[in-house]
This record gives sequence, C-alpha cells and structure tokens, in this order.
Amino acid sequence: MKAVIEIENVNFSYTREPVLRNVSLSVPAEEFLGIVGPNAGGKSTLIKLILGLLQPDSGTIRVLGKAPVMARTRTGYVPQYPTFSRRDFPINVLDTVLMGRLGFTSRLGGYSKTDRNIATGAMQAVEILDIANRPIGSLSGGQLQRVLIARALACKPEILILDEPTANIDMRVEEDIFGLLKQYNDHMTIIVVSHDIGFISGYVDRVACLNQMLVCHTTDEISGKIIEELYGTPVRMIHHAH
Amino acid sequence: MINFITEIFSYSFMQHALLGCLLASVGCGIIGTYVVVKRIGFMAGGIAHSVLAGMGIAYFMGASPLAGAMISALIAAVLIAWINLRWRQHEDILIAAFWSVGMAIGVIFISRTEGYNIDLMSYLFGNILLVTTRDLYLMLILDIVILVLVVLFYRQFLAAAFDEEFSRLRGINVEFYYILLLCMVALTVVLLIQVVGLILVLALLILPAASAAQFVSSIKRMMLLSVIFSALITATGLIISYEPDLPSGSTIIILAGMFYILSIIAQGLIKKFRNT
Repeated sequence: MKAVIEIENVNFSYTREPVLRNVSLSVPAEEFLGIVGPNAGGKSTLIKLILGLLQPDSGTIRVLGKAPVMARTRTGYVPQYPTFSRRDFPINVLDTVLMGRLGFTSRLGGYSKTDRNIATGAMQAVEILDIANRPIGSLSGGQLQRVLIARALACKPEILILDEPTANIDMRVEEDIFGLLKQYNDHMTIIVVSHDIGFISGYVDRVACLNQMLVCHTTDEISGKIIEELYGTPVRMIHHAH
Repeated sequence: MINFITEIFSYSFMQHALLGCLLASVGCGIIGTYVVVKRIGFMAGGIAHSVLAGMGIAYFMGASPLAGAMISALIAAVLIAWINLRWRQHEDILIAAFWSVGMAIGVIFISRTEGYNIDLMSYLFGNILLVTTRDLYLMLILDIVILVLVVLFYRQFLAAAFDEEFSRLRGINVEFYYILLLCMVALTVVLLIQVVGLILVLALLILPAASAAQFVSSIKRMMLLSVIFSALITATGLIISYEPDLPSGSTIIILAGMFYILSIIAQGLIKKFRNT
C-alpha cells in the first residue's frame, strides 16, 4: 500500500541534547498507528516534525508525497489537552469547530453554508451538537477533548494526528473516543500519541515505540519485555483479551 | 441634571469633546478586546509610551505632533512585533526598553525645542477639550481603517488569538496577523491619546474590554459591549469633570477603574444568583 508519511533517518535536537536519533518510519494509507514512549522521549516532537511545525536537523520527511508544510491543510491535528490552556477565551463550541474550515473557505468575510454543514457534521460525529452554543470555558475535560477532535475532523483530513487525546479524561470517554476513531479509520490514516500502551494496543494496527530512537511493533508483539526495554524499568502488565 | 447636560453640550467645544470620546470608543472597544484576550496589554503600553519620541521629534521640527505620534506608534509596533517574533523569550525587556527609551527621546527633543514651552502635560494626560475638527476627522478615518480590517480578517484574528499553532496548520500567516494587530493597536493608541494622553492610554484600552469580558462569551459581543462601556465611561467622565474643572482624562480613567471593579462584583453576584 502507498505510504502517506515517509520519514527517513531524521535527527532533531532543540539544544545540544538529541531528542530524535536516526528515526525512520513509513506509514501506509489507512493505518491506525500508535506512538508510545516515556515522557520527553520525543513523541510530541515527532508529531510537530510531521506537521511541519519544526524542521529536522537532518533526514527527510514527506507527507502525502510533499514537504510537511505543503501537506498541512490535508492533515487534522488534535493538540495535547494540558497544553491547551485558553479555556478562559470568549468563544463557543461552534466557532471553535468552524476554525477547522480555515484554509478551505474564502479568505475574507464569513463562513459559507458548506462550512457550517461540515462543522455540524463533525460535531454530530463526536456527539457535541447539543452543546454547540456553550462557551468552551464551561465544558468538562472530556467535552473539550471532543470539541478539539471535531475541529480536526472539520478539516476533512486525509491524515488525523492526535497528541495524547485521552489524557485527563475518564476511561469510559476514552473508550468512546477510540471507538469513534476506529470508525474513521476506514477512510483516514490515524496517528495517536499515547502513554498508555496497554490500552491503545486493542485499537491500533501497529505501535511505534519512541525513546529518542524508534522501533515499530505489530500489536500482537507487544509484551512486557518490549515495554521494559522502552521504559528501562520492569512494568507490570495486565493482559486483556479483546 | 438633564438641564445641566443640555447646557454644557450647548458649547461647541463640549460637542467636539463628546464626539471625540465616542469616536475613540469605537477603536478602543474593538482593539481593546483583542489586547485583553491576547494578553498583550503591556505591549500596548510599550507602544503608547514610545509614541512620545515621535511627538517630540515632530514638535522639534515644527510638524504636527499627532502625525509624529502616528508614525512612531507604527514604527514601534512593527519593531516590537518583529523583534519579539525572533527572540520571544525577551519580551519583557523589549517592552521596557521601548517604553522608557521612547519617552526619553521625546523629552530630549521637547527640551531642545525653541519658543514657548509646550504643554507637555496635555500629551501625557490628554485634553479632549482641545480636540479640533481636523482631529475628529482623523479619528473617524482611523476608526474606519480599524473597522474595515477587523471585518475583513475577523476569522484570522480570532483563530490566531485563540490557537496560534492550529492557525498555522490551517495555512494562516500568524506572524503577518500579529504584526497587523500590533499596528492596529498603534492606531488605537493614537486615537486615545487625544482623550486620555499617552500615560493613561493603557487603562482605557484594557478596562472597558476586561469589564465586558465578565459578561459575554464571544469576541463579537465583547467588542460591542466594550465599545458601549467605553463610550459610557468617557462621556460620563467628561460630564463629571466639567463643573469642578477636573482634568478630564484622569477623571475618565478613575471611572474606568471603578467600572471594572463594579463589573467584577456584578459578575460575582450573577453567578451566585444563578447557583441558588
């Protein structure tokens, strides 16, 4: 299958300390890829490189056959929830979701009817249509997370990238969100960054373990041994049958 | 009371002053909203104070101080935006430098200017009673420029203020809109210098918008409400200051401060009332 994201021998550092070392990764179309790894292992950095928000020190990244910056508008991005600290901003759910249409609509003036229909569709998909007019400051963590996902879906992306989409929300909501992503996966490539390898292994096709260096595993390979290598300490793992 | 108000507005200088307040309120409410939600109040303060450099130089050369103010405000805005985009971590130092170096340059040029010593106080603290018809036209033009830009690029300004990273991913030139926003802040500062002077500008730019933020949850409504608040505050300040011959700019600012405190209390009461 054709690869939508091709990363070859990428190195990156913010200061002198390397964050990513010789990372190579090829993501085929319509894959559901999980990226796991310890804190400061370079997960968010890799995402930002794929989005073209950062430039690699060396190596190449191609997204949909183009430079990442050129492929941006065809990618949907859900930022990490704790870094999204503008909850006091005076804006409601609908206007936030509509921002996903920027880059497609006319440059001047307001949103078109099509934009509003697409935004409504995205809100329906994540079941937040009933709170469309609520200010985002009044939402719960789970609701805000759905708003951010709806905003990314409103981009009608070919690739959807989510950075820790289920941090700070309870297990039940987490299952809902991953179930939803699984549905979208049949026409969309999805990349999810998570710290919770046990949970996501039930949904994703493949897991990329990232701690400066990147190693990929198919989900049935995930064992305590691999996690131990990745995190450097023994971990207890609960096997759950799906 | 009504008689008193109709009486004082029978003077043409008071009519001009009131019109000046209302015109300034339009730009003030709209741009003040962005300044508050984007938390760039002190950047606006830096631009405002550095304006004295332009005013001083213009006065020294015998040109219009207001033209000097406009030019230096725009230069300061572009420079602050540009330097800040490159070396973001030194924002506070940058603002402090523009703030006081700008004022120092202004004071030097004013002190070197021949002839009778100008009323420095009216630049610093404003004097809306001295506003001329030409000033009013200039204010009207500045309002129109601000309104047109905000209507055309409303979504881009909103997105860039709300979530820079996401806006960038949607293909919005975040840097361009940041510089454009600071230029509009600069124009608004010039607009408000007439009313309250460059030292007090900051309060009038921020307080009506911050008061409005207590009651609404959309940028559009916040803009509308802060225009209304600032018109109310400036007009009331003007009327109150007239009889005891108080400095109008300072009266307006004290009112703005009181208004802000009252709106916080009112918001608290509304919350309490809703919960019970």
